[in-house]
Amino acid sequence: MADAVATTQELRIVGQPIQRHDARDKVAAAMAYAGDFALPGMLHAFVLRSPYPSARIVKLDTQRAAAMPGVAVVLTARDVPKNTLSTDVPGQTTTVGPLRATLHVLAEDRVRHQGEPVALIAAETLEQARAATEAVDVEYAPLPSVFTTADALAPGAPAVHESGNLLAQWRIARGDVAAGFARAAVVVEGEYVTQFVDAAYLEPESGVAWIDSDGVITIRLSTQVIEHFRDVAEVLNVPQNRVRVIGTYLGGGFGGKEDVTVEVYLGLLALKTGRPVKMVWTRQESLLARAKRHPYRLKYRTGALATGEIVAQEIDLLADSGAYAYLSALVLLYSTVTAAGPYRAPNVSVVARVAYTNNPPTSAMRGFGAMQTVFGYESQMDRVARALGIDPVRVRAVNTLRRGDSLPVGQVMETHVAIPELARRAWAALGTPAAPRAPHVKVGRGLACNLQPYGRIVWLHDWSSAWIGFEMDGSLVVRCGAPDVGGGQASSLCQIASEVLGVPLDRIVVHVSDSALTPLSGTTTASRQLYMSGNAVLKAARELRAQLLTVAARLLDTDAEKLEMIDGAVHAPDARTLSLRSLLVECARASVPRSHLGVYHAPAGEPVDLNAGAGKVFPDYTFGAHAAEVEVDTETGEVRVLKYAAAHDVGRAINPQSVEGQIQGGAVQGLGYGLMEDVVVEDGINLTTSFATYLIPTAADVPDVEAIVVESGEGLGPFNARGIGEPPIGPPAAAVANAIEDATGARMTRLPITAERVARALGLVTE
Amino acid sequence: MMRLPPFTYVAPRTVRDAVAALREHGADAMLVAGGTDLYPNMKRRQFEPKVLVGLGGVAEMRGVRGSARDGFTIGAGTTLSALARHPDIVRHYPGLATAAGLVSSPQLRNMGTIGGNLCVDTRCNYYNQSFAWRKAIGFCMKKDGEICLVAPGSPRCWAVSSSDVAPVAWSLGAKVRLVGPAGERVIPAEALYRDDGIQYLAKQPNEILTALLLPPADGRRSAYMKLRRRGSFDFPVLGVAVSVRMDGETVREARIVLGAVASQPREATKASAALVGRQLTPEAIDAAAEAAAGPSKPLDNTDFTHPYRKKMTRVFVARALRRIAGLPVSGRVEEELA
Repeated sequence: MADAVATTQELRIVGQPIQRHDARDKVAAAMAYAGDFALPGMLHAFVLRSPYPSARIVKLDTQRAAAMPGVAVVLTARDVPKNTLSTDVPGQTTTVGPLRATLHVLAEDRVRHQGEPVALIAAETLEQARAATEAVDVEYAPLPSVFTTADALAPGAPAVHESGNLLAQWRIARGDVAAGFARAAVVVEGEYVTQFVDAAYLEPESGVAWIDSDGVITIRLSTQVIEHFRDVAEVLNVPQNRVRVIGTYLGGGFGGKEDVTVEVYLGLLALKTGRPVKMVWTRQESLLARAKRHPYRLKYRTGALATGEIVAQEIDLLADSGAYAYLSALVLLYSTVTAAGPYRAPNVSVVARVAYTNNPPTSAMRGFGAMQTVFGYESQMDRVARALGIDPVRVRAVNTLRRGDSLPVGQVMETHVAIPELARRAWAALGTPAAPRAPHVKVGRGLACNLQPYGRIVWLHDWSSAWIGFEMDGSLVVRCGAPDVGGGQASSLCQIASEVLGVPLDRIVVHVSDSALTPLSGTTTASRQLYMSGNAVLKAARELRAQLLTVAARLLDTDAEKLEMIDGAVHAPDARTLSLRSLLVECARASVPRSHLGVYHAPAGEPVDLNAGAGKVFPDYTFGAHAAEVEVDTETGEVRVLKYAAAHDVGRAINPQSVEGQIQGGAVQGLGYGLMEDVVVEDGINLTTSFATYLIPTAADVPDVEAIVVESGEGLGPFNARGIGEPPIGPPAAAVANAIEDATGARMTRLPITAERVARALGLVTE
Repeated sequence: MMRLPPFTYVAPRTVRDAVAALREHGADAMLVAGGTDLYPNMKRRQFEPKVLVGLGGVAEMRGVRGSARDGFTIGAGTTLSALARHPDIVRHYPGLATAAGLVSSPQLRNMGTIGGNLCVDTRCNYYNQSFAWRKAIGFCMKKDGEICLVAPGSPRCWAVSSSDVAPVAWSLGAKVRLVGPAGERVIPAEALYRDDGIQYLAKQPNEILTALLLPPADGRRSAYMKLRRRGSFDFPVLGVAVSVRMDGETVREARIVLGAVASQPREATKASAALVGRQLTPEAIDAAAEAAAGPSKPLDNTDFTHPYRKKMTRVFVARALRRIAGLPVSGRVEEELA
């Protein structure tokens, strides 16, 4: 449990549904996002991107472009001090392990996907930068290409990289799978296919850079990872302390702003021109160039006893990394670990592979490999239940991991797995079944459960830090490097500090996301920020409290343990009080600091040898169960989700409003994934580069999501909270697919489940 | 964001001045009303006018006048949202109100006009892309290129008519008023369209569509149904407009017109003819729906594949006719308007 100390005392602020300080600003359009900043004399930058998915650059002549009106600079690969960028594991960690994922900042002699950056232009106006981009003279010679993972792994396939097309593979084998199948009363086989998906955040990639005093290259941008200042420094070949990244409040991240976006380009251009420079990607550019969620082909063979107990799982996963590695190997590890779901799997084999293709690159996106697998294992679970005539809630309860059981990877569950309770509550929340509106409309229900890690892989030795200090008037400042991606990260830190130090929320200001001025706290990814930075703030606040109460105890002539800090004052058991202001003056006199830096180190571990098959991979998991009621129009295949309930064990809800927001948002994004979102890639060409063709749900397409917040008090975060950023995106696709089978008997195995696909599954269209 | 290229904006107050402005600027000029289709297309350089003649200030082009007995004149500048909730239109021409109310999103219907939707550009997966994207694939014949990327051997462009109101106007037997340098002319709505993805309008570039003229209501019943992936925003990938006039229980006149299956709306004449002289029984409706799928020959250049869109033609025609006949129907359309 390390520093995450449980508390049994009554809580005053934590657990309250508090209106976040950023909420009103966002709704009132008063929030300044990265693209809203401007500086005098600022240049505008634009990236020239490859039109082809696989080609050799035969000629790259920038002379004419550089001579265009208003053009300040045109950069190509040879202008970049160090053109190779490492993309393994961003953030506040040091141990990377065996991976060496790299890419070129600007293409050298070859492009491997449509949209790969080739040249970088800065000009006085955006129009001039654009015009110059079109004037760059590039000649390409097409190279052999490969667009499916099956083709990529076939003998003799064109190599996307010299190392070969198999980027990574993980294997787990445990128990005796053949013997398990021999005992099984029923064996269910399924093959599932998922698609490329875009983060589709409202705010595209954007930022402004300038050279500040002392020559520090300062980049203010929309990012989930301010620690990319190190990557910028490396590319620019300057010391790391010469680059500063300031993160703004994000208009959405979802993993899409985990890898570098505009910061390296902005740093390069500021360094080369000495002038402020701005870059904002267009929606088309964002949809074209940003890394996507990995498409998977998931093969499952599941054997179960007549009781529903699963006795054998044979799982084969194949993911498409697109043209570059990015975080693919780690995404695949998440899939491998979660492949059998939150269930006992005594006999299991998992083979997971990820291959290079000339498709758009794929990397982090909400769920990070642990969400594609839900569509596999929860479709299988439903089919097992159906084949055996067992209730969907019961079949999951029968198989749920108990405390002390272990995952296929050998990690022992040291926590309560609330799946049976969550499933029961989500299922019950659907209430009375809706009556079909017409004879051709069928109504059905589906359930899907999941587990999603929160916090980073234990051998990454994750840590976070936060500084808390009082001003002389008793107001409080929190400094923490955590970017706020919209989940209420900053606001939750205030609630934790308020709880411990008894300072009202309106007397607290939080500064986040500045690599120079806030203590580093790692990435806002992996559902880790509340867990990690929440613990860092909790630690800082508790230690500061102890520091101050030592002085207060002396003044009040009592024991520090008997004192309470409430509403800006110290209270003694005999009702005497001491104002914070007096206490702070006394601290100054007594040379006791009124601030404190808290550092939280997550429980760490050694890398797991998957082939040897035993070990801890993640600190902990968040569990969930979603239930959907859908109607299917059996003449058109149209699916409408009528009711939706999503239950998660969040350990403790620091701010129930933010928790419900995460659950509802995740469920809606998951329904988009399940029902309509699809980056259509035809021979490496992205056909969906606008919101007219890349379709995300509108208010007309989703029902109200009933969020069911369960607090087991079992998490590793502050006040025993768990991460809830990613978990809710896992179950929706499977819940809907299961409901469709319940309604119609048709089993949908390919995402997104469009009306046309349902119509085909129902035999309405055979051509 | 994608920015608009520079252009000159001319703001006439009368149709006469607008015609004069068009004549003055010739091929450099385009008309703009709500701008909901034109401006995004300009950002993607699908349209490259140097001058825009704005019709927003032309008061005579706005509003709905007339009566159910004599028919209505709808100014081309009337917004889609105004049309969708106009009590007379909702009551006497429900198919038109439905279609206007299903265009894009509420915000765009507040800006977009009936004239704009009647003249809306044809669409195609290979055309509705940014300039850089189109350049990368060598452009297509609709703009800047030589070939059709949907049907590479084809001498013509197959971009799809994507207007919701056009098939309805056609099915109602409505007319449009065109005003040009040579004066004004009134033509049937169906004569406004050509089966070509590029030259999809028979209107001359220097003519302005000033009004949609609806015939007397005269017991007419109409309906419109739209296929798309989402409940809002999306252009139709199939539109079905049905208009029927009854003699008691017997169909006196019927027109079924399909949208978004070709470069212009397509009338299902055999299906319409099959209804005339019959009662709107479930059997007659099914027979008409079967016949209606015939002229639906979509290509794979929109959302969903052509076999599915063709199959849905039958379902949607049957549903539209059932609605007109007062038989039980269900579909998304009703719910949205409820």
